[in-house]
Amino acid sequence: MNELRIGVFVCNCGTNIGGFIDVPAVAEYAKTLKGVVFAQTNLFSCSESGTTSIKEAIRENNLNRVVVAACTPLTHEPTFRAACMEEGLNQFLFEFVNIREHCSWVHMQQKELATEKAKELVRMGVARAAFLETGEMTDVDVIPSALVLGGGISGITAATALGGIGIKTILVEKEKKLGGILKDLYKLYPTGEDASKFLDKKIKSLMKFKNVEIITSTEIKTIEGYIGNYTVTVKKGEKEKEYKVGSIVLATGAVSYEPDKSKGKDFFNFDGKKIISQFQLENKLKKGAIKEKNIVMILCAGSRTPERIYCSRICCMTSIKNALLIKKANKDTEVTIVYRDLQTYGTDYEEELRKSKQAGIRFIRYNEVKPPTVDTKKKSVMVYHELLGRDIELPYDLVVLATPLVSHADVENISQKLKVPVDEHGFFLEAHVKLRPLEFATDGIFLCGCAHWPADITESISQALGAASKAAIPLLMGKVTVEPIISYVDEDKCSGCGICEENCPYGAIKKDPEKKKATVTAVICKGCGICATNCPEQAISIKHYKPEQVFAQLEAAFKEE
Amino acid sequence: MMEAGRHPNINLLAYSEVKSVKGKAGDFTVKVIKKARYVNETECTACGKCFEKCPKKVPNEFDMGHGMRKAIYLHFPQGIPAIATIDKDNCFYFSTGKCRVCEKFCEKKAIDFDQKDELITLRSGAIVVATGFDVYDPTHLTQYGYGKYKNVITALEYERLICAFGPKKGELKRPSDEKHAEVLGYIQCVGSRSLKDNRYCSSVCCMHATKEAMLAKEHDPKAKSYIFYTDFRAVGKGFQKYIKRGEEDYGIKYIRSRVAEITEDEEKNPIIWYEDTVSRSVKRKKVDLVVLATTLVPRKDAPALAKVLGIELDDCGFFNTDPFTPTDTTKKGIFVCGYCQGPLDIPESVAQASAAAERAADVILAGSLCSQER
Amino acid sequence: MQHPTNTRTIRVLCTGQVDPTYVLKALKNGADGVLVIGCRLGECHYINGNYQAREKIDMTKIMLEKAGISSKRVEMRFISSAEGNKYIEAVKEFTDTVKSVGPSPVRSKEKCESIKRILDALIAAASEFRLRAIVAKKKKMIEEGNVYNEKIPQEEIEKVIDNAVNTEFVRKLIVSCLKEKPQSCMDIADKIEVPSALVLSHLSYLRRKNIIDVDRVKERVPYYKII
Repeated sequence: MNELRIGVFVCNCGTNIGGFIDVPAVAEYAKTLKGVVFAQTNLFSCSESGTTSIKEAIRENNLNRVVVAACTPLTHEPTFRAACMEEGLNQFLFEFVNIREHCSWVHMQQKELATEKAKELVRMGVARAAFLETGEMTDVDVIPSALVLGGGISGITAATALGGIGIKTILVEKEKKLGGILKDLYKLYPTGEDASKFLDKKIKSLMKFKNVEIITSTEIKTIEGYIGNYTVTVKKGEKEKEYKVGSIVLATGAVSYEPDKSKGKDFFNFDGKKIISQFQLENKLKKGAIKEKNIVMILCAGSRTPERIYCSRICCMTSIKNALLIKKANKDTEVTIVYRDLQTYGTDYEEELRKSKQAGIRFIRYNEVKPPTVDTKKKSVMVYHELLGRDIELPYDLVVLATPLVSHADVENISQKLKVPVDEHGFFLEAHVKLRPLEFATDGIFLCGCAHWPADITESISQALGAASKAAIPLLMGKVTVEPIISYVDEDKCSGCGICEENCPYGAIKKDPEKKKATVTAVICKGCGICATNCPEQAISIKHYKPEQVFAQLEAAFKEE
Repeated sequence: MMEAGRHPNINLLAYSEVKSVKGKAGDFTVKVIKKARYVNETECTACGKCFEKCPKKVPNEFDMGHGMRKAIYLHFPQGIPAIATIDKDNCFYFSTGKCRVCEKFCEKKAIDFDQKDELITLRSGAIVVATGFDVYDPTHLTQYGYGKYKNVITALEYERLICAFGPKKGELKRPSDEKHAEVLGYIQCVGSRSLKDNRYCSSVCCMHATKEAMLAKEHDPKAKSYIFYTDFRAVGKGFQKYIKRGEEDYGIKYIRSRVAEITEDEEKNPIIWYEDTVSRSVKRKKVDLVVLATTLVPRKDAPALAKVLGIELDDCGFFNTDPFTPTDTTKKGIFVCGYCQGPLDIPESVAQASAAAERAADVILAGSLCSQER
Repeated sequence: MQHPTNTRTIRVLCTGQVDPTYVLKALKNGADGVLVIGCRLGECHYINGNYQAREKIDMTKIMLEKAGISSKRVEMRFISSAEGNKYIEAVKEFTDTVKSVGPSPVRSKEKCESIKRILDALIAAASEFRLRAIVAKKKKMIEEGNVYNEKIPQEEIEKVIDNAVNTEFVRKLIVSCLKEKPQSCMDIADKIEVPSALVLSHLSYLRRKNIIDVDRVKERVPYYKII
């Protein structure tokens, strides 16, 4: 190997680092480290002037390793990798040391100690840099078609969008008909449109596309493969069929929580007749006018409770919409909404709330500590009124419980087949809650609608269009680029025991039946390293996180001076 | 930002304004004024020499006036592209004909006082509008005393104050006396959900107030935060859990109330007078600093832009969309995303941005086949 | 967000790649404690890496206890990236815990040698096929069963791991003793404080595996050496 020529760049980040750490001292210290031939400070390493000066230094000092001590790799690793590449230095010979989030920001009152820590962090980074190896991005071909899983409004929208931009798409729905929850709804807020008419219109515009194949009453049997190259086996009755797709949109939706009648005693005396769910009310409205004269709606029934802590987002508006519809049909009907907080966010929904108050719908707030109870003998809902300091009695003919949207029973199954995670409530877990809401950590699979989190139709449509857009990108690009930070098997050490295959959460490592050795499918592997820690022969390592690279850091961390 | 700045298919025109749009979906001709920065974009490296030397100080807009900037400046430090700009209205040279200090110190000879606004003509198949929002000025809501009492600030000002790179270097010092603010009152729905001001709900303030209160506690373990709210709106993924954490781990007090008035004592401590809407009694709370969650409103220039683009506004002043075609404006080929079409938080805006991109791609890729029925 | 300056962070993509040998190496290099922090259980961004890591860390703690090193020096926590305050709390608590255990014996002059030998033996044990294989198979054997489709109760498999740790550790200690110089069974037993009968059984195993052999016999006492 060529002589090590490490360059260290210590960033002030304005005063974010410079204000709490003696940055010049850290740079000076870096110069004393083995292999370091150049060190400097930058005001903002990430700025154009910062990267320009890094590039100059690489050029002028013939650097073959670059260490930047600045902020988090999350924000600027790509910036510095790009700078290295522009100077012809392999991007994997770049090492990022975080002295902002890990040091200056968290030790603001201890400048000296923080400076010492920053020096040590740089020492660790330099030690690791010495062991870094080059890596290459590789291109993998993609199959230019997409699978949309779920035929509710999200799935329909995503499939229409994909079809519209000329992508061959397969839409799989497990039920007999498309539509999901929408099939059972009466009218939609905030437009008052008929749900079934709206759905028909949507399905018609989907049907126009000959490049979209719709298969109903069909379930996914297996999904194998990776971004650009999935093999999906579907099952319709006894018949099985195989499809090849490049990306997948997950739009499996959610279901309305329907309480168990036999346990109604513990759930506002739910009986499915006089005490029904908001979802049942939709059906009832669909069938005809409501005859009951006194209607009480209880919000947050089964949500925002210790066992289901979340707010289901859509129930306030659904309740207000239905209350208004009832009131419109017969203004003498008394409708009372018993609520905790009214979630009429945004412009349109706030307007609906105002209309509903004008229409004479009564709103009574309850405290979660003393939730309302339904007295079936008196036929009254008892609500603790905080101002009066006692229960008030609301006579009813019909009680409507706004139950939350909950995840499907088969979420676990889908999650396992697609190898994507779900959260504690059974909603799919996106790659990043703020910045990547429609993506998974696994490339090639995208998420939209209620499978992600309760969403109304407007939001589901936005997300579905977005997910379609994301799913279309690799298909239109015609290739995907794979990072080399993945498992690597030392075949001389591998005994072919197969433990890695058993434990790989992505199905990326398999025992080759002929060679009797583990082999990695690069494009699936995420580099989690589970195979490496499970390998009894220690034959597997993760490139860029190899044991010697970690050990170098560990040694540098505790070196006595 | 960096990602967009670096993408080979993205041509970034910052400090520019759209002047006219002609044509139709699939074939628009857009005229853009690229304003003169008086700095050569290819030469400037944002080294910072010029702002160090420039003699003219003006209040920094990015810090909501809580700090100063020079007449030659970067809009904000991590801004893309990182190129200095001369603020012509405040520059000594432009007003008196003398100075040119920046020119003298610029090693790259990037200063160009003769630079002129440039008219650029672009052709594009589709347009995505993502112009965001303005913050409502609460001065005329005299009951809150904004503008009158120094220690009543807006949430965005608070964000700048507590930012480690902000004008106070991340120390939460209140404006009147630079004393560390320990007791904080956050007032929600300032100018919103009210027929007199803005009838709608901004949708993000309940959550940002909670985040701000958490930040206060993280900066100073003694900090105590009181959030005065109307309805607590935490409908997004994981939001209820976040609120619970705010209550349990950060000791944030949520008070369901209507704030009637803010007064001030001799030490300039704001006193919040409010009606507790649970017990219907009038109470008061003395705090060190009041943070107003002011409405996020359509941008002032939204009507002008709407005119240029030929699209309609809704009755709140946001770009009009149909609820079920959330990214389509009233004109074919022009799409919207983010807050400029109505209240949204970050993940929703990100998702919607992808949606608008899909709609734009649809026009371009499907050509005349413009697919989805709208 | 302020917290003590005594932590040094090693970035891994997922706790799933934290090998017991990494943790033991850190201790050997003089770390007072090792805190492994992964996503919250059920929220792993690599699907189940944190569960996998928990198995490995549990085993590492067993190993430390066997070797007479406080297992409090190693801990695993599950914190999401959005929970800065929990991270701070964890770091503070762990710092206090480690302080109560005291500074690393690696940094004390008297104990340094012996403790390093013990940690080397642990690292060698943690690299051993059998131990790694059992831990890797643990979940499957509990949930799906072994090759004969018998589900193994958790306590049972934990007992197996416990035994395996003990066995591998003592064997590696014996090997490390013999690396210094040829010794008798009694010498080794005294040095590593293990009953001589047990040492003898390991010696005969190691001999069968061609790892050691008899060096010489002096006064009818065999002395062993590394091959």
